[in-house]
Amino acid sequence: MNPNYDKFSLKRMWAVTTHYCVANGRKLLVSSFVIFAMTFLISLLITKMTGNDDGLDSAARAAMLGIMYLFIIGLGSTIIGSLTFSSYSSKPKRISAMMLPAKKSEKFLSMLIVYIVFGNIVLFGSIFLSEWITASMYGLTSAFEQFRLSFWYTEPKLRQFVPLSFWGAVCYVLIPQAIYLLGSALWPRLSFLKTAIAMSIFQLLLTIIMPISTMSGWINPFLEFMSEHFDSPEAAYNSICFILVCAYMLLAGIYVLAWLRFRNLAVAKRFLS
Amino acid sequence: MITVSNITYAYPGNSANALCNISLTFAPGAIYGLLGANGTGKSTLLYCIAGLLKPQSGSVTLDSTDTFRRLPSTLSEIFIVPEEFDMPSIPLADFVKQNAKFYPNFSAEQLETYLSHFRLTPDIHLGRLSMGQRKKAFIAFALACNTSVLLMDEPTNGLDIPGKVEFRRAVVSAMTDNRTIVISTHQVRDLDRVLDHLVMISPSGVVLNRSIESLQREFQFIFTQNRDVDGVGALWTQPAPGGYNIIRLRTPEMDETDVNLESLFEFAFSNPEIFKQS
Repeated sequence: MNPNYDKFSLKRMWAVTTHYCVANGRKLLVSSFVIFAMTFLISLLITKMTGNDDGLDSAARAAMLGIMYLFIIGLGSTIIGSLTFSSYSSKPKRISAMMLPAKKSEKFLSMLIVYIVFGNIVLFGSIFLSEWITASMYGLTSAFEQFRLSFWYTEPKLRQFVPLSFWGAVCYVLIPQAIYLLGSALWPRLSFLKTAIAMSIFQLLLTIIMPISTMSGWINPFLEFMSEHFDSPEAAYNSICFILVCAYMLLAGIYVLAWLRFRNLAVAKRFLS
Repeated sequence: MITVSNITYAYPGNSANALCNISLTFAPGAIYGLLGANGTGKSTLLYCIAGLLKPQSGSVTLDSTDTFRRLPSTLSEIFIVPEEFDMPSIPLADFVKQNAKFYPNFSAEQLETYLSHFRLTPDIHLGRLSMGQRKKAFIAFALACNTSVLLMDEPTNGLDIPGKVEFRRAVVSAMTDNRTIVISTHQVRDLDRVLDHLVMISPSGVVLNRSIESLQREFQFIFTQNRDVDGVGALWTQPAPGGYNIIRLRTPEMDETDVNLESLFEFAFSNPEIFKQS
C-alpha cells in the first residue's frame, strides 16, 4: 500500500464531492427548485399585496420582503445545516459513506461544500434572482436597490457601522446554521426536529436564568467589565467589533465540535445502536 | 492477511457481548464461510473486520494496519456487501464512474463479465431494477473492484434461484490467490460447494475454524435410510426427510464425501469440544 495514499488529497476530496453530488443529484436539484419556487412565489405575492391604485409602494414592498426574506433565510439555512450529515442517517447509507475510501477530513469538507456552500448559494441566489425577476416584471426598484440607496441617507458618521451590520447579518445566518449542522452530526436521523427541541429547551433555560442572574448580581462583573471598557458612545464601534469577534469565535467553536463529533460518528461507537 | 486478535464487542446499552474473545486469521486465496445462529455476532464480526466498529478490546488488522483507522489505503482494499445496502437511483454507468475511481484495481471488463453472469447489462438504470437485481448489480460491482478483502453479509438473501447459481459462479470466477472472501450466511445450501474454509461462531467464541479439506479428510458425511447399519459408530445422527444424515469418522478406505453443512453445524454446536481440541 502506498503511504502517500493516506495523506489529505484535494483531488480525492473533489472526487468525494462529485460522488455525493451525483448520488444525491436529483434530491439537490428538486430542493433547489423548491427553494427558488418558494422565494419567487413570496416575492410575487408581496408585490401584489403592496400594490395600490396609484401603483406599487416600493418602500412598503421592500420592508415586507425584508421581513419575509429574513424568515426564509432563517428557516432555509437551518434546514440546510440539518441536512449536512444526512448521508449518515440510515444504517446502509452510513456503511456506504464510512466505507468510501477517503479520509474523514475529506468527507467532512466535501459535505460542507455540498450542503453549506452549495446550499447557501442556492438559497441566496434564489432570493436575489426571484427579487430581480419580480422587480423587472413590475418595473420596480428592487428591494436590494432600496437598501443600497438607503445607505446614502445614512449619516456619514454612522456609515462605518454598515460593514459591521453586514458581518452581523452573516453571523445571524451562519451561527444557527452551524448549530443545526452540529445537530445533524449528533443526531443524523430526524436531525432538524431534535435540534429544534434542544434549542427550545436551551432558550427556555436562558429565559429562566437571565432574569435570575440579573437580579442576583451574578452578571455584575461582566457588566462592570463592559462599562469600564466600552463606556463612551465612541466606543460603541469597538464594542460591536468585540461582540462580532466573540460571535465568530463561537461559530468556529461549533464547527470544531461538529468535526469532533463527525470523527466520532464516523468511527461510530454508537453505530447501529 | 486479516488478523482478528482476541476481540470483544458489546453494543452500547447492551451488557451482553456480541463478540467475546474472538481470534481468527483469514488468509488470502480462500473463501471463508462464517456461520452461526441468529444473534451470534456474524454481522458484528464483519463490521469489526471492515473497521466500522471498534472492539472494546483486541484489534483487527489487514496486513498489520488496524482496519479501524479506516485509512484510504485500507478502505480501498476492503469492500463490504451488507445485507441492506445503499445504491442511489441513477444509471449504473454513473454509479460506476463515481465509485470505481476509489478502487485502484477496479476492472470495467470484469464488471461486464459479472453483470453478464447475472444476466444484466451495463446500461441499466438502478432506479428501475427490482431489489434482487439491484443486489446482483451491487455484487457485480463489489467483485469487479478487486479489493483484497471482500466481505459479504447474507449475499444470497433476496436472490432468485438462478441468481443463487449465478452468484456461486461469479464468486468462484472472481477468486484469486491474493483475495480473501468472507461470506456470512444462513443459506448454507446456496454456498456449500463454494467455500474453502468454515468458521462457526457463538457469543462465547469460535466453535469451529477448519478448512473444508480437513473436514473431508477427517469425517464422512452420509445420508442413509438404514440407521442401524450405517449409523454404527456415528458421531452424529440427524433425522432428515426419508432417512438420516450421519457424520462419522473417516478411515482411509472410506470414500471422501461433500461436507453436509447443516449436519456439521448441529454437530459442532452440540459438541464444541471436538473442534476446539482439534
